[in-house]
Amino acid sequence: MDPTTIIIAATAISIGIILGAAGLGSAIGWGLITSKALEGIARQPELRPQLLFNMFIFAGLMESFPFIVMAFALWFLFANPFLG
Amino acid sequence: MAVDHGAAEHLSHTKITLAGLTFHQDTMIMSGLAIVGLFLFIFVTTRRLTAGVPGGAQNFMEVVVEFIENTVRENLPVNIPWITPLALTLFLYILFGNWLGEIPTLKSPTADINTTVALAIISFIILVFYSIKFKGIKGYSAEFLFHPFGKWLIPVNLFMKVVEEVAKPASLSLRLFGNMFAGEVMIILIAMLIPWYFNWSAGVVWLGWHLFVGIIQAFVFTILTVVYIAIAQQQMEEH
Repeated sequence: MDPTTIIIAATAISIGIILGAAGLGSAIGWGLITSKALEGIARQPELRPQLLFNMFIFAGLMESFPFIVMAFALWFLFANPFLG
Repeated sequence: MAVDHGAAEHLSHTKITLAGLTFHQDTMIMSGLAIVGLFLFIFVTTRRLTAGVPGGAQNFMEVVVEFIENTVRENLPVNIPWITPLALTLFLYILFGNWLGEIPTLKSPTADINTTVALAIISFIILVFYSIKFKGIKGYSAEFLFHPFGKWLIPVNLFMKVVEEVAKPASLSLRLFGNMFAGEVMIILIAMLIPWYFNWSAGVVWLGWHLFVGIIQAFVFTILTVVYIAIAQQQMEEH
C-alpha cells in the first residue's frame, strides 16, 4: 500500500472518531443543561419561560465546542492537510 | 438511487479570482441579497409605522429592537452610544443570513467560514480598541503580563492571556460557521439518503430546527460581542 492510501484511510478513521467524540460531548452537555433546567422548573414552575429561555442560550453557547471540533473534522475531510 | 453529482458540489463554493485573490462568488451574492432584503424589510416597515396596535412586521422589529436595547443597557457599565446600532446590525444581518439558507435554491452567507471570521474580526477589533481606550496601553499590557499570577510568571501569564484573547474571535466565528454549515450538510444528507417519498418529513423537521438554531446563534453572537466589550470596560482588579 502506498503512503497516500494509508494517510487517506487513517484520516477517514480519525474523522469518524472525531465526530463520534463531538456527538458524545454534545449529547452529554445538552443532557446536563436540560436536566438542570427541568429541575429548576420543577422547583419553581412559575419561572418556566425564563428557565427555558436561558437554557437555550447556554446550550447555544455550549454547542460551540462540538462545532469547533466538527469544523476541524470537516477541514480534514475536504482539504486534508496530511496529504503532501 | 442515482447520485449523478456528489454532495461535495453542493458544499463547495463558486470561486472567482480578482487581482490574484480568490473570492467565493456565491457567498458574496447571497450576502448582498441578505443585506438588500434586510434593508427593504426595514424600509417598508418604517414607512408603515403605526402608533396603534402594530402589525406583524412592526411587532417583530419592536421586539428585536427593545430586546437588543435592554441587553446592551444591562450589560455595558459605561454607555457607548453606537454599540446598540452595532448589536442590532450584527443580530439582524446574521439572522437574515441564517434564514436565507432556508429558501430552497439559496445558501446562507454565514455558512461560509470567511463571512463568520470577518464578523468575528470586526468584534475583535472593537474589543481591543475599547480595551485600550478604557484601560490605557499600560493597563492593557499589565493585564497581559501580570494577570493572574504576578510578575515572576510573566511567560505563563502572557500565554494564558493571549489564548484567552484569541479564543474570543475564534470561538465566535467557528460556532456560527459550524451551526450553519451543519444545517446545510444535514439538508443534503436528508435529501441523499432518505427515499423521496419520505424525506420531506425529516426535511421539514430539520428545517424547522435550523430556523430556531439560526435565531439562537444570531443572538449568541450578538450578546457575546456585547459582553466582551463590557469585559473590556472593567478595570482590572488589584491583587
